[in-house]
Amino acid sequence: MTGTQLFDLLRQFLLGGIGTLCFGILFGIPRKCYLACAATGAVGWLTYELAVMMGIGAVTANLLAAIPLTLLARIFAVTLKAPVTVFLLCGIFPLVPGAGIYYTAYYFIQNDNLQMAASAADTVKIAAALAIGISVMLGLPFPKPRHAPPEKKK
Amino acid sequence: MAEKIRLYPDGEERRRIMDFIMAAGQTLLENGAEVFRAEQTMQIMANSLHLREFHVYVLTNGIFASAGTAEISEVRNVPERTIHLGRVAAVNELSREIAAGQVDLEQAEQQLVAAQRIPFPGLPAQILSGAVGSAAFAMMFGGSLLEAVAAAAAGGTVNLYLWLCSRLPALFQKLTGAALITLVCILVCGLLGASVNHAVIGALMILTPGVAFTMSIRDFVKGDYLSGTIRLIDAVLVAACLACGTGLVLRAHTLLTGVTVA
Repeated sequence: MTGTQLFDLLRQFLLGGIGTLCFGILFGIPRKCYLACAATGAVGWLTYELAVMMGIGAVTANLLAAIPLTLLARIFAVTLKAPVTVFLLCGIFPLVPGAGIYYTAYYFIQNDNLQMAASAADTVKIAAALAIGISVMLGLPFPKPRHAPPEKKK
Repeated sequence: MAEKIRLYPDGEERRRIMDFIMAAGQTLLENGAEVFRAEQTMQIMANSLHLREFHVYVLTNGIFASAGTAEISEVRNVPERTIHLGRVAAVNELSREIAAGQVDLEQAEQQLVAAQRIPFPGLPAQILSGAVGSAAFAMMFGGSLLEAVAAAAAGGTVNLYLWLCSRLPALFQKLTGAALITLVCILVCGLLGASVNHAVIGALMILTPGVAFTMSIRDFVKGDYLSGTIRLIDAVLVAACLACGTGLVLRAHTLLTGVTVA
């Protein structure tokens, strides 16, 4: 890997973190989760960029990126005692096909059916890859945090 | 015997617990929690508060639940949904405390009201994070620094606009917001001499339903087909509104100046 590539990845990592954090703030996340959310988003985006740089297609790259992202979200959820949703919703923000779904609609109203079909297919594939990656990683058994079981009042 | 009455609440207290659980579920759903999370949390609360035979069915925009042998049943309609993850986290925390037996019903009701009232970040914070986030996304999509500046201007403006007209219907907000973003981007990019494309898509990320779309597929994977469909249609409608908004401005710009920008 060359120096420029490394620099580019670092830049993307930072941008991903900043972008995630900003949208996390708009989503009203608790203050203690700011750094964790930024880290989740940045790691997901870095994995995606790395995969694309290695010549892997966008859909597979999204599937791959969902794996460390979801793992990290689960780890933060346990350590910071917040629901996984907080980290997951913010963390996937750089990856979700928001642009794709917009372009699909845009080509639709422009009457450009070929382009529309192409971007619609991409959008659905990327969203499905993300959703499957997240669901698989969330379904994975995970060592439970050690806390006292709910006591029944006698 | 007195102990037993406390374990299995009856009469008025059961109804109060039911109201509390429904309100908690509604808070979760209104603020962007997934369908299955709302279902799960309500079930856990019912178990912890010893509400017998509690059954709940949650959709993206409604909650149906009954307790006992259906002597109490409630329906909640949740037409308006935003994303406020702080409230979701607060309700989650509350359910954990209830499960651990740290709070009684009275305190839990108080805490739920407090969770519902957690405010959104203030206007300056919203404008700033909208601007910085838009700039970051414009650069992530391959834009240059100048385009990022244009995206930042548009992102800040649109968050101010959304705050000003938060009372208007959601789809109208999206349509006019997208038009506003395109307009600001064209103006700023014209001044700076940058290309419009990356700037527009960076700022549009504030409005695009990417998360809703992905969550809808997740609902499908989970087996919540109806909830997934509702979210999917929602996402497609929003995207159509955004495209109409930007399309209108771009077309008007082409008609007025004779220059095609995108």
